Amino acid sequence: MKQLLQLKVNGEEYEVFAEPWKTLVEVLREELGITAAKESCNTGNCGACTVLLDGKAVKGCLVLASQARGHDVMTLEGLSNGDGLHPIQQAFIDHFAVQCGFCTSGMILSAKALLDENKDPTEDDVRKAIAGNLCRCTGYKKIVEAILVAAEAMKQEA
Amino acid sequence: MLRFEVLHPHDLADAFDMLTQHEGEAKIIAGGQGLMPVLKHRQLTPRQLVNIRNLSDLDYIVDGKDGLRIGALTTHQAVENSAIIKKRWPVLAEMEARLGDIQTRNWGTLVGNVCQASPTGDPAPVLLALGACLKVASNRGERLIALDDFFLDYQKTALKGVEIALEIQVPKQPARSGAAYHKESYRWTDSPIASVAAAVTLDERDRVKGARIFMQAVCPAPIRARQAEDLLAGQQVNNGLLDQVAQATAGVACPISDVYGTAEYKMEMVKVITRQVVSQAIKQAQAA
Amino acid sequence: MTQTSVVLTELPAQLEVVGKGVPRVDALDKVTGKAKYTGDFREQGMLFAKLVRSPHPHANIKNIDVSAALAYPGVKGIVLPEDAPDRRMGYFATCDRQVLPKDGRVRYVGEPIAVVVATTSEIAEEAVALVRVDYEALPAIFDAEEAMSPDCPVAIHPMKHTYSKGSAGGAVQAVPEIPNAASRFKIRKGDVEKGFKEADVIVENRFTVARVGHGRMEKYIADAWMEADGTLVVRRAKKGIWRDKDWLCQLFGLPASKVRVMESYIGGDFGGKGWVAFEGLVALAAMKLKRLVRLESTREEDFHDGTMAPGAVMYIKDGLKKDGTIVARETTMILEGGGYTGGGSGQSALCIHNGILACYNIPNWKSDGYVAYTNNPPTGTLRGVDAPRGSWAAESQMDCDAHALGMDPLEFRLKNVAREGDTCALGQVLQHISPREAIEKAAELIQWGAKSEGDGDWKRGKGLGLANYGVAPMAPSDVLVKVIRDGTIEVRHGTDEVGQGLNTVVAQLAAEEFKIKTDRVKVIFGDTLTAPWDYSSSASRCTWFTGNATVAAARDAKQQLFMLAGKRMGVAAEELDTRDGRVFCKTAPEKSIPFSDLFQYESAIGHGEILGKGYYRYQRQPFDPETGQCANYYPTYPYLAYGVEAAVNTRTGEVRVLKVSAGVDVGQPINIKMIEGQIEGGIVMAIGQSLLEEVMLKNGVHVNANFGTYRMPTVMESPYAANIKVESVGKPDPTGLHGGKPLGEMVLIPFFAALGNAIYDATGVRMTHSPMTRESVFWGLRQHANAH
Ligand SMILES: Cc1cc2nc3c(=O)[nH]c(=O)nc-3n(C[C@H](O)[C@H](O)[C@H](O)COP(=O)(O)OP(=O)(O)OC[C@H]3O[C@@H](n4cnc5c(N)ncnc54)[C@H](O)[C@@H]3O)c2cc1C
Ligand code: FES
Ligand code: FES
Repeated sequence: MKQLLQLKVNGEEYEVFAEPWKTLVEVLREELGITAAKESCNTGNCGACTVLLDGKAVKGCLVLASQARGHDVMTLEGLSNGDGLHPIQQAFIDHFAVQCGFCTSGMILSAKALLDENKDPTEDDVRKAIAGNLCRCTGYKKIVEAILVAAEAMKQEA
Repeated sequence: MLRFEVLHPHDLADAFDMLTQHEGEAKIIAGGQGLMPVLKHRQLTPRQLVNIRNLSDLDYIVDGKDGLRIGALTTHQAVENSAIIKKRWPVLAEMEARLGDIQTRNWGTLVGNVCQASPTGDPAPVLLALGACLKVASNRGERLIALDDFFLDYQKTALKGVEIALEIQVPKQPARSGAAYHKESYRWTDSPIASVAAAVTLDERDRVKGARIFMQAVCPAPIRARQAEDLLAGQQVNNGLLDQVAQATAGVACPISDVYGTAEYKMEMVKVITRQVVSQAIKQAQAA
Repeated sequence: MTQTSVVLTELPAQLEVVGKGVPRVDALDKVTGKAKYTGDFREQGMLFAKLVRSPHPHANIKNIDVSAALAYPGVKGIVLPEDAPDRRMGYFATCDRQVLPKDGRVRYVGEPIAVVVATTSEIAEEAVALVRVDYEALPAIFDAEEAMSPDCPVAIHPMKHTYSKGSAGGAVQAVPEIPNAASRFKIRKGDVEKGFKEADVIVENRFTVARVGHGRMEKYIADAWMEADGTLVVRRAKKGIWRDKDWLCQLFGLPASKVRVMESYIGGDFGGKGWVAFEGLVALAAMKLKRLVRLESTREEDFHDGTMAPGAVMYIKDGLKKDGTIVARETTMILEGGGYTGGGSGQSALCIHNGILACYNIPNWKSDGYVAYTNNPPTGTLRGVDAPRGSWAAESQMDCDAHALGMDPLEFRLKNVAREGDTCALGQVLQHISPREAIEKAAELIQWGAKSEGDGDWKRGKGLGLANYGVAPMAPSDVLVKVIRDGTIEVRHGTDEVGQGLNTVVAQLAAEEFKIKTDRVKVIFGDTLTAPWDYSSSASRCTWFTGNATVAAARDAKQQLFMLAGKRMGVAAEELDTRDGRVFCKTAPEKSIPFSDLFQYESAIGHGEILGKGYYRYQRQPFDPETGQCANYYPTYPYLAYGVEAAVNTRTGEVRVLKVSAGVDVGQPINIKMIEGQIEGGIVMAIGQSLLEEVMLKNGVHVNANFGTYRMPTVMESPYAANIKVESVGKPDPTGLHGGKPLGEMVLIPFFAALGNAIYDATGVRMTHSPMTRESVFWGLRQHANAH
């Protein structure tokens, strides 16, 4: 039943065999071994599986893998190419925005999608951007603070 | 979920053929934001999915002289952020901004939401209040369905299994019109406990010339509050009338008690929201 | 207090790493996606298991027919109750649960009956539907108070008098005279009857609270396989490798050398990742099929097996003097334990009191706590093990008391707050405590006394809550510290990184001993082959137990290092100290030697490595079962007070938490940033559990076992970042590690009542059921308006 599927993930082209009913997050994790995106609720309610499709945040558990064909998929692994961390990653470390880490991949990617579009976000903008990402550990405060700091850092860099 | 095949049509004609060939067994998938959870909960077990998500010809927003047309593959996010919609159809943009979360809005479509006919869908009451139609087609041809005739019962619509909805059409609103929508929900991202949309047109002396009021989440399908509309007709609105309108609106709701609350509470919310959206719509019409 | 490894306290001023907000040692792994969780491993050819579950809340199993399922293509085997051991397992109080219901009876909807193993999870799921089970349905009971009635016609565990107690079950008692009582805990201090006679005012209330879930982001998942030598290996997303190893040995009668348990990073725990039932199932499958088998729950199944926090009914009666002193308190608390309590809730008869027993000086105290069996899904431990429930009742009651006396709730609390040398409800003398400072700080930060204005339909109010906690002194901890020749310090511990930051705490402690940065410390954990013995990261014990053992091990290693260096340098070991990977002479710091030289020199005479060992253990005196009195039950008492400002929409009942302040007494905090993180996370979890979340069951069937309608707060329901304020007020506890006390589970406890009190302040409506859903607040407002 497995079928050939072409996917472009983090800039690389992959050819994989997967059952047609598999979701994007399943194929990433199970077939490609790209595991930063997590599966938690599996019904679109937690955001742990968030990945970027052409720069926009989507839930990997609600997108069929075959629907991602022709789009650029980005996972957390693709955020900092080679050396050095992305400013969002650095801010998450510096501001204790990580506890168990299970939501982290989705949070960082939702933040990236926001900051790529909005260089100067308010706290409300940040809250709306991560409203689809549940975190049970941090209470969000340090995540919001980290994203605002990252926005500042990215502005300085630019 | 379990097992199914996914078919990827190259164009509409291809998609029509696939649906006809697998009639009764295939489901359309657009953004999947409604369908995928249903499949995961095993509430539906189709044999084939026909993936129309990549038919990008159907991704458009056109605001012409007859009104607004939104293509079937236009995402919630595109509607929410469209400059023209924000300006000329603010009620739609505001409704979309409160639909689920960004991830869902980025991949899910407005038309998909309408076709899903979920009893808690946000767009339906708004589009109904605005008098919208749905253009649908199959390889036997096209037809236009007024949304008034579209929602039949719990998750049942006038759409046939072989048909694809192509676009939503919202007629140009008369002068001095306003529309408002509000949902009460537990969390920001949740579907409504109850919601109401109202569209009103005023005459030059601020009397209501026409009103359309629709509720969602309090019946198996969106429901119209005709008595309430009649109460408004020809009247200048005051607090007393608003109370009567709210009462009359709740009077036709038929909610059930479930995880969103008891039927009694939902009725109370309908009253609160009706007051709010009717007066908001009137203010907008006055300002228009 | 017996403390086998005495750790001396350094003055805070001398500390360089401890007490600082140093970054988490696991953060880099986690922000880059390199951190591995159990589900991130995937092996070629692994098999997938799915469970056959009972559709009945209470039934006898008459027959299981697996012929059609076994014949289904791709099915590799099915594990049945007859393959399972008889032994009943449980931790803490009561061993009431078999891995599979070998006694022929199911006690809740969703109880696993058989394990179907197949080449894919889809096939396993399809085959599960082919298993035919014949049941004889039995009458079922779902309400705790009905179940507790002596003449309840349903007996859920008719053989419960034969069950044994769990590992730390000493505190609670069996209750043979009540058919469905799983356990009881009594407190008898002073003479309450006398106290009530002396009282000027009596305040009595009944509070209730719903079942809530952990909502940890990572679901249950476990892999098991057999090694060639017959060793059973279980790798799972759960805490307590050694505890599970012990359990698996006991369950299957395996020798200690033939069981290996592994774990990785854990995606959240909150008390829900302690219970063994799941590992037993996957281990059975691996042993029967001799293959690598994976068992992963769906989110819905996670609700079935997740050992959620029980609902409770709580009666509370206070006797008060006109001057504001509390002279007597009596409570009866009944927890709805579900079909099994072995997941930890058996202990809750005691634990429900844990957040309230050392807050105020109450001379006469009588409590009876019960856990009742019902035919709802099983319950277990959740962050604070039901202390949040007891606190919901008692701290709401404190405000009711204050209002009955016409006093300000803060003033009333301060009048009664526990002081140094007071005895708590368990009779233990309280020392090194700062509850007064905690509540004063919370009040100050929330601007207590300044009435906040509402606007339009929104009314605003403020409320306070205070809690104590006890770090549970279960089982000893062992730690190994290795000195590596490049100056790295390796710490091996046997507990868990569930997200709470234990690896960082351990790294800080070791770094402090060697005066290096935490990035020079490598923490190794999560495998019984390589990690030393420990219990698990439960009951807020890790910082205290594993932490003390870490320091002891580091000091042992340092001692050996100084002996070696002393010989090399011709200086006595006592003269030496270390910093930045060098050993130096304290009196002549220029005389120093890098670790690497030491190894080169010493390897010639046979020293390959330096290995320090440390352990920590705490001996407590037995409880008096009739009075619950114990002189040293908890090694220390931390405190936490919350101030909450909330807005209530008078038209809809919606409640928004606007601001939260916290005054926390954890002695001298080891990492203030992580303390803040725990508290901020606790606040938002508590917002969920007090306003939005509720495990809904209808005749024992889950109604909202998903994250769509089990509503955990998103950031939108959480206060703005600047509106959460946390300040530490404790004084160093000289018996504690570097003067610190643990925090862990305390973070939920005082929130519920603080919010209820804020709602009362805003509206005059006293909420008596949690969660205070918008609907219940709405009807409360209606009733209040009609009555006034
Ligand atoms: C986390 C989350 C939160 C949500 N919150 C909300 C909310 O607050 N309010 C709300 O209203 N909705 C909400 N939804 C539902 C969701 O937004 C919509 O139902 C969804 O966007 C539908 O569009 P889609 O393109 O994803 O459709 P799909 O899921 O692909 O399809 C939905 C249904 O419509 C049919 N269909 C789709 N397109 C067509 C077409 N062109 N012609 C014919 N049939 C078609 C499909 O066969 C299917 O039956 C939420 C969903 C999620 C996952
Ligand atoms: S796993 Fe996809 S949203 Fe939760
Ligand atoms: S850090 Fe654990 S869920 Fe966010």
